[in-house]
Amino acid sequence: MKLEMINVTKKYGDKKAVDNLSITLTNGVYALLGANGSGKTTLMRMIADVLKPTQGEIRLDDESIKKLDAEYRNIIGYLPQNFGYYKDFTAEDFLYYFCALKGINDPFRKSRTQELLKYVDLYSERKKKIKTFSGGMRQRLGIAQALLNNPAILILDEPTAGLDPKERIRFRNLMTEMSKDRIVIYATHIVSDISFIADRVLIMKEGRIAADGTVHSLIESVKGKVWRIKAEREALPVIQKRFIIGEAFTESDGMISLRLLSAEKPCENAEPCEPDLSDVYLNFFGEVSADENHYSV
Amino acid sequence: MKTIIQYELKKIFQNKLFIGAFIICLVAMISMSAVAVYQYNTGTRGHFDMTLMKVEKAPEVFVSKDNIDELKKAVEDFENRDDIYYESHEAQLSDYIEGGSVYSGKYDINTSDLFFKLETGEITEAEFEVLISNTPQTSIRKEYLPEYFKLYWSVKEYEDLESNIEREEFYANSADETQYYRDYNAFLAKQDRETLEKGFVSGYDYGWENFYSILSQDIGIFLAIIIIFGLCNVFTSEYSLSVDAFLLSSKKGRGTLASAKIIAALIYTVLCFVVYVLLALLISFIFLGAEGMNVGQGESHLTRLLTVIPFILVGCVSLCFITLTVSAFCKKQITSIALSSLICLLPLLTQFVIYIDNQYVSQFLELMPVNTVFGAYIYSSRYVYLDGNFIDMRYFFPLVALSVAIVCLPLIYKRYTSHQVSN
Repeated sequence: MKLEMINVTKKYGDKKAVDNLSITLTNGVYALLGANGSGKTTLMRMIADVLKPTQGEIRLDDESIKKLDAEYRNIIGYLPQNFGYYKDFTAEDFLYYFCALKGINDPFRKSRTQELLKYVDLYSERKKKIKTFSGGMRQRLGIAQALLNNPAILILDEPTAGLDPKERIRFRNLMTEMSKDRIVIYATHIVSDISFIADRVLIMKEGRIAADGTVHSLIESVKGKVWRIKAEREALPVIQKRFIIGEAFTESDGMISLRLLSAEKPCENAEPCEPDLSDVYLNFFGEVSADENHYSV
Repeated sequence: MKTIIQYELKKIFQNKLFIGAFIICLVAMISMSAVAVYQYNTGTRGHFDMTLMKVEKAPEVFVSKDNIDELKKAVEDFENRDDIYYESHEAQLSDYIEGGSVYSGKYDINTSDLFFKLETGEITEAEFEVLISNTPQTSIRKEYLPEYFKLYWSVKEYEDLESNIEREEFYANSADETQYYRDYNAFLAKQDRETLEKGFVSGYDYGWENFYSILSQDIGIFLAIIIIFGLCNVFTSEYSLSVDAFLLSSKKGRGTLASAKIIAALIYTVLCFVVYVLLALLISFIFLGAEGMNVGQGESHLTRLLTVIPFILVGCVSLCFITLTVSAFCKKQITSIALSSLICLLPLLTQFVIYIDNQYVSQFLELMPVNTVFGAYIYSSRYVYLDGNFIDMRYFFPLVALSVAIVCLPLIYKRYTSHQVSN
């Protein structure tokens, strides 16, 4: 299976949310990494066929998804970034309804719904109305909805938003199991979510793919650029102006330990560090999201 | 499809806007209908109880120029009996029935005729005041009632037709009037003349007419409101709740879902209509009973009234399509409610609040679906003035409904299926 985006552009007024983007995806997990406003959600919506490109085309196995229409939608599962629910529906009703919309009929409807409710740990809550659910439970229900038709293309936009750490790990494991023989496109700005599951990382910046590679190759690209230094607190404003700072914490002696990015050794006492994906992200965006608030610039 | 329709109906009925509107409208409909029937039962029909009529149904009479003199003589003889009074007889009320504003026996006045005479200078304002305020009321024995009505109503209706023709012909030939008004009066005079020539049946089915009169009263607006409020969220809520991304990325989340929503909305509309008709029937039954519904007193409009029910349904379906179209275009609930109400109910406002001096605009608004639901055309015959001819308004209702469907359905499909999820 091959999903191609050919010169895809999406404009809102004069602003290009996605700018002439071309990429080909085959089976595997693709992590779409980018800051807020980088165009991830717009791209995901276009792949999910809920938003039309201003220019360009998206093709599945050389056939335009516009032409494939319902046939294409039949093989996708989509979890949007921000979504709502029918508050007075029960979890079970919600999934039954989407079974009908996805063309899943009896006798599979019930078995598939129950299987997924167990999968996302909502089986015991299945008769409860969605309005009584917490944010995390709603997110899990959304994930179940996306998986109902066992999609060949799974599009997940910030799927771990609202999940607690335990649920996040559970979801990560679920994705590892799910990733075989399908295309999983996973947009996030939380780098720790994808380090272990992504086959390929696409970094989006200003509507374009700024970097594309495996986790390993991207980490390699910042090797030798990550340093740890100790500095007086008073020196922090000057350092912030010169370097991209990833991590900072106060040592027992009152000094501040900083992890920063620099092409050259920033100072005499700087020690080289082993880079990780968050350093790659920092290298592009100069910041890490508030969710990973142990990083700041 | 069936499952999707079931869930769409569930969404409509779970909508708090529908629940609120339904409760308020139901209470209002029952209260207003009950008051209308109560007034019918007591006030407007004089100081007697309809139960008195249960024992004997007022017989129907064929009235024509051939037997009108005979009927007039019979009424005169009846009204000159010694035990008929023309003043209030408090002491005799237990045995007697006083006619009130509806029948006055030989002192009956035709107010339209009096106004006409005043306008044409046939009587002075002082004479008019005397005539209109000093009408003695007829009191007759209760047991005479069926026989009296048989004669009284027959003659009264014939005489009313004669005076109508006189008025209508006057206006038809008046140079002071507009061409439309002259044509209209000529048309009415022709119709009334034909009725007099052919004869008509009097004294039948007044009770059932009351059932239809409930349908044609102001409560029609509540049926329209329940339809508008129940359906204005069908598409809008998907956008406003941000569920649209789920739906539009599903295999059947576009065309099939749009069809399911339309079918569910139609089912809802028919259910509202059925409840409405049953409610009117129930209220009539509670107040009049099965017997009361067959009590005959006036000219039968039954043939005309029988067409009411399908027309109301046609109007409801049109309102349903208009509301769904607005819903498909609006992303905010408040906009959808406001716009649907404005489009659907505005023609009604122009009939009662804003006077429109152009008969074409006025007739166009009268043809709008809300008026078909409201039923203002039910009692009084309404016509569309077209190329010098007057055509019964009811012929246009199916055409209007068809036009609404032809315009609205493609718009609903196009708007919803091409909807794009944005921030």
